[in-house]
Amino acid sequence: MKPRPKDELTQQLWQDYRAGAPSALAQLMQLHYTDLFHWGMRLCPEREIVKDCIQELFLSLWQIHATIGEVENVRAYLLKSLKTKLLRELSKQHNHLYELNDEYDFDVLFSPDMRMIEDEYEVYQLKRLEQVLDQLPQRQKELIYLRFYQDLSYDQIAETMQIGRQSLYNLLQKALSSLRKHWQVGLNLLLLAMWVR
Amino acid sequence: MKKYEEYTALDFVKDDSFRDWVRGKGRDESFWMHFLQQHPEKKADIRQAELLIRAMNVAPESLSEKEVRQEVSQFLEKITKSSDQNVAVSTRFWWQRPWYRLAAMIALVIVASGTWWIMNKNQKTELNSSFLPLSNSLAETVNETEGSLMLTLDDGSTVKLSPHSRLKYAPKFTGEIREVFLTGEALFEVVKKKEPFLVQTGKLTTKVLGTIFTVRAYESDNRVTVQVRSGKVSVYSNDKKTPTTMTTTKGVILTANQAAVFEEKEKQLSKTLVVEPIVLRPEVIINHFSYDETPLSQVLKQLEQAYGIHFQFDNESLKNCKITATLSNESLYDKLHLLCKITGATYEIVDGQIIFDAQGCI
Repeated sequence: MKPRPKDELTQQLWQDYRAGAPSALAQLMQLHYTDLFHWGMRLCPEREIVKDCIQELFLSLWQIHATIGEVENVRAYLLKSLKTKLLRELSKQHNHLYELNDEYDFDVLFSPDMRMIEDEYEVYQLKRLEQVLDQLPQRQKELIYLRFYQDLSYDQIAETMQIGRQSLYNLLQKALSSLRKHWQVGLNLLLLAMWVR
Repeated sequence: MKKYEEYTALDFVKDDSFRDWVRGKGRDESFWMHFLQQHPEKKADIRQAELLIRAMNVAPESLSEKEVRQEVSQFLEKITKSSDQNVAVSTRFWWQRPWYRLAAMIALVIVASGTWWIMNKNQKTELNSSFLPLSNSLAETVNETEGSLMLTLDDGSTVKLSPHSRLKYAPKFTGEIREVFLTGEALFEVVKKKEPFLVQTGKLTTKVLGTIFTVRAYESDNRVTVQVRSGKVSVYSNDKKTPTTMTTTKGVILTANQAAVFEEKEKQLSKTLVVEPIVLRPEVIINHFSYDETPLSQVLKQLEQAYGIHFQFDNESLKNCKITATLSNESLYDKLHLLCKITGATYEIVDGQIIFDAQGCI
């Protein structure tokens, strides 16, 4: 994966975009495209719809360039805006209103990084964890995805998911405790395995 | 300073520096290696945290650079066209078109001058750190592509310049030394000559008579590494603050498969091994690394000869260790890892040597 653009660069481009430079917004689009696309595909599996929504997102950003304010976290702002757009688009298509706090679909498949892992037991543990992760409720998966794949801070996640810090914290604790529960099982198994050996 | 000693597996998972390290893109490689050595009691927690991070991995979407470019240019086309439409529909915004154009031009200048400023900054640091005043006659090659760039210097030496790297050199070498200035990474294949060949990277000077080696000195890395593939190289720090103690010196001599790392923060120069040691003497491997009840000490001796790396081990404690295995093309570290697993031993790299520690086999 390519390294993400530095925050200072993104901020500078945002300022230039607000000052009316189309090339600055185009550059912002280019720099964030891969992340936005990946995120969009989690919410909607149709490539073309995701691409269209990204186009629309930037077109509407361009329309309001003269009035839009400062944005502290451009990346989180873009992720959040794309999500709003996509959910609206899906609402239209499915004739059902999805809202940000609603049970919309979030599809992520965790694929453990098995490089350089030879130990059979560790492979087993990774596969087990993969199962646990895949069975988590969607919002918890979304949180883990934003934290681990998109590398967002907790503040940025709260903004992207449009929930308060406290709700985010509760969600995180839930996710971690169900991981911990299954991880403990793994630990005991490890001890048992060593004992038997 | 974070209290990593008190961290649980889950605390490690949440730590940015740790996560970067696990994913192999961290800047704190030596910190975590050191921490692991200092806190063996944390090993289990760290391993769990590592597995958890690995488990959280998500595969990327297939999306080509070309697709992204297409989308972006489609977008640019649309917004420039829409401004045309505005002009057509309403004359009230007659000024909009030239304004957009002007804005686009301004943005271009900003981008270009930004790059120019960064380049200037680099030049300045190079000027400050090099020994000789840079004359205007130096040629400069900047590799802005995503692939490597081959250069042939005046003396016939070749340089494979990595992406986003820059090399300054005299079009014609004259005088007592052959000197080049590097920012970024390059693999040098130096032709043997009377005049020494010097690679300047600000803090570190690498001096050779004729050899193949890689110097890595990206400004963002906070460290300079020199990896030697063949021949002999001497590396020394130009930094006056580098302490001269038993373990760190101002200069080290490297032979094939050895490397030197200069940490900018600690101002320390230390000797280690290259990331991927290569077999220097293939003729040693007559058995193709295939062993049948072979004493471990004999296996290690063979690796020592093949890779030209010095191994330290206690003959007495290895006495009963016998190896039956067939090794193949895996890296030296994978081979060592395997040997350790079979015999319950451990190894570490100290000062460009491998110290192999076995508790003894039954």
